[in-house]
Amino acid sequence: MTRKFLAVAVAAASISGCSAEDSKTTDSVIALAPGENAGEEANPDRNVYFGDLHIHTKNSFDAYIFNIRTTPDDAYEFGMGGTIKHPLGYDLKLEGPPLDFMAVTDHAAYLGHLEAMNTAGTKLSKLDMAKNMFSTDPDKIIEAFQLIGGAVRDGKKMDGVYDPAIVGNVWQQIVDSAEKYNKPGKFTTFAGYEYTAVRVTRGEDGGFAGGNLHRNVIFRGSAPAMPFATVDSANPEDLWSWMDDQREAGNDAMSIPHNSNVSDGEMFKMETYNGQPLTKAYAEKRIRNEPLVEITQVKGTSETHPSLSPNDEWADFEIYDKLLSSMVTSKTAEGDYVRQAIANGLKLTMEIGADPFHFGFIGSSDTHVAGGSFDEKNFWSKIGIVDGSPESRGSIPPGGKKSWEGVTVDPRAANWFSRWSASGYAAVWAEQNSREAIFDAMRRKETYATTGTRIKLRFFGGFGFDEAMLDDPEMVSKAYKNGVPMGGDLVGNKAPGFIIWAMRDAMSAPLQRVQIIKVWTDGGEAKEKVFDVACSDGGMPDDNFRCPDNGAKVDLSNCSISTNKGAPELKTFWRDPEHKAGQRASFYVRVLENPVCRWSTWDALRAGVAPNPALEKTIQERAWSSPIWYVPTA
Amino acid sequence: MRIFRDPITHFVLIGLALVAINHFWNSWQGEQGRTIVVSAAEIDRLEKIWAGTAGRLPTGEDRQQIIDQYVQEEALVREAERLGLGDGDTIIRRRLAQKMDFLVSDDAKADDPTDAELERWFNNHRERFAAPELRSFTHVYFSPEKHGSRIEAAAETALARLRSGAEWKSLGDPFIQKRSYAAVPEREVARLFGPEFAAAIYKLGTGKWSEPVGSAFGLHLVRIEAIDSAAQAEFEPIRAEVLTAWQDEQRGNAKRAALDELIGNYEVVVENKP
Repeated sequence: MTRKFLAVAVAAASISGCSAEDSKTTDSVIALAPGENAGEEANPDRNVYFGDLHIHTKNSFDAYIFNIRTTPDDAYEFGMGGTIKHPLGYDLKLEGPPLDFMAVTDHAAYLGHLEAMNTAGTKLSKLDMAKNMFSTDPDKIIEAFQLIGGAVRDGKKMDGVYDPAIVGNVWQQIVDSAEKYNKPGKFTTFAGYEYTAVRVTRGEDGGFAGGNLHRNVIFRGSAPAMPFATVDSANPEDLWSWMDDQREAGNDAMSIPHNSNVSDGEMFKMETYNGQPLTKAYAEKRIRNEPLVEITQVKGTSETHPSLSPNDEWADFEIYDKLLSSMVTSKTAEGDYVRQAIANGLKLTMEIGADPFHFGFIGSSDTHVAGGSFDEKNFWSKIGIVDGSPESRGSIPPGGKKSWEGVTVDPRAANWFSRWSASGYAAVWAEQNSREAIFDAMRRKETYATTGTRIKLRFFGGFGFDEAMLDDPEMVSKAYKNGVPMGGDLVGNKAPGFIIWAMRDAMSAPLQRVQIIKVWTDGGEAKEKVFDVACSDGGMPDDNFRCPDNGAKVDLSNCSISTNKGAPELKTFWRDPEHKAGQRASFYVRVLENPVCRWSTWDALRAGVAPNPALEKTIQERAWSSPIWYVPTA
Repeated sequence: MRIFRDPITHFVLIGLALVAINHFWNSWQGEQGRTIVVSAAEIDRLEKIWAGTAGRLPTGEDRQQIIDQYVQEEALVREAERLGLGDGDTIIRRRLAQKMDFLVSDDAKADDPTDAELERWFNNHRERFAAPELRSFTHVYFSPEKHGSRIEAAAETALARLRSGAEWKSLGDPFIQKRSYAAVPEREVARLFGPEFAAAIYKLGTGKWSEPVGSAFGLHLVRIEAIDSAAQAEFEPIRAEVLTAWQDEQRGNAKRAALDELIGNYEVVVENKP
């Protein structure tokens, strides 16, 4: 049963080399368009590339109202290391090296409509809505903005407002911009957009609060004339059908969900959009179209929640749980976090013969100012004039006060902006930096997510692996040949072994520990366990699989960190000490750096005030690999 | 006549002249403030923006509306200025300064130089057109996690073997990134390995294995395979690029001069901190 599912999923998704026993062909063929020059030699052992696949510009209805006027071209210039302007007038520039790949993903519904409303003489500028939107009366602005926001989420085509000609025209500009900046071998860009569905689930906010079902749609190469947006259907299953059709027509694409952490239980729920039981057909269609999930970005982490993972001391990390534009807290018990979804997927494999949650992980920024804010030292948050200054995002006391004593922080800053994160990156292992190689790597889930650091992370599983491989100069090619990389299925009945290899970012903190998170089900019940598998500073995991404290400290008076603690690299071979023959399980790696100051602490330090007492003062930057699934056949 | 030599008379005359100048200046300014000119260039600019958004060229009716809108905005802005609504608003101040900056830049035009002039200038600024130095290198890595305090010794032993002709691929520890890098500038090496490592390997000569060099990751033995020196540029192939650079410099100079002149009209008082 499971084997058959795999065969189908593998064939349908044209993944290569998912199974160690069934097939040894791990090399995927990179097809370049005629005349296209890859510009660098393909590396069969693959290189890691860092990118951002979630970027908004002035074409997004919300970004425009936040005073963003930067374009997709500006976004790509920023990614290549250039300087662009924040709407508050200051410069935005990457702290680290240029990005390797990018996609601009503006909200497709009502794409470009706000600019049209703000352009004298256009039909849209004559609408009362436009006059209100660009008036000086905040109540009118909010009212008009909510009308558009509501129509985007619900997919309403407002009479006399929604204009497909504007969408088509601006979409073409986005596709052209991606084409212009795509330089095979050097810098990869994808045509893409955001599908912005929200399901209204609550009445508390006058009916505004809802479950976030947002996805980014990324095209491998060519793109159709129009995006499929919420105005076409607010049901993501219809988006998958459309992508199936597009693939047939030669426009291969995938959609990548994000912010499941604020989906109010909707993103990974155990029934269809219309409340029907999940079927094998549903699962196959979903995973064919959604092989990845974005699990870290400016609006928090979607790995797991402390209430779901009470035995994971690192679960309480950059948690953000307020439904979009609302003070209502998302339901965390079911459907919001990927670790739980992976366990549910294992269960579904047993029940229906397919796994809709058989996905890998990436991070991205979700910036709305055309440039991602990845660096704790220099954070500019997400939404332009609204959260672009330390005071507006609650990291320094309001009104120039020097103390937090008796201070009331604006509720939006307290509940939203101050909880947001300087994160994250999509890391991809691919043969070369080209659309084809990177997209295909994403298809086979050979990806990992980071919180804005550029940790290098290898992860392989195999049946014939051993400790000696760690020092073998040919380790990587042997691991590819005799096993599977992150994102793969290890099919067979022997006890699996894993090779984990992480190296620090030269510009961030040294590594503290490497962990394996094992997820499985037992009698239909979801199980998880965190194992420290490699410790820095010569430590060894104890009987509870925990490294000793390495004593790394942050000096909050200047944000300096211990210089003599932590490891430049951690490399280990690991066997599951609790392996049970025949028990299906999923394993992913989490790498933790030594702690550094959180962005809010840096903001406070620069302003000469104490950090906001309601916020964590330090964070441990981290990376999460896509899982490897152990798939027993007997 | 004595009266013309009287200082009092001078004083009164100068005073009258000042009053008259002030009067004419004010009324001239007032006239300026009451005229809204929609220039052909402005109409052209607005139409281009409009077409970019609407996806078609504006018709006569659209054009009239574009102009009406502009006039309305301009009138509102001027009234707002009269009421001082922009005072103390940082965004407006910054935007105004930025606009003025654009204006100054626009005025700072550059002429076309003669060929001889341009080539002479190029010869004086050759270094600016040179490609940055690129280095290709191979490295053998030693992991502090593996060797601990014996890391120096491990590197020295390997170095001795390399110098007696051992194959580099068989030595050192596996490295998660590349072991050979082709044609990278120092800045990129610094971002990948840390600035100390970059500075150190940019001092090495080619073809010889180095003493151990430290990086953010551990120790490395490095052999520089090739140095692409900052390449000298030739004038003819890049004439257009040189011209652009020349014009940029001319404009930059003119702009700096114009800004200096503007600032020179002010007395600048910088108060000491109390």
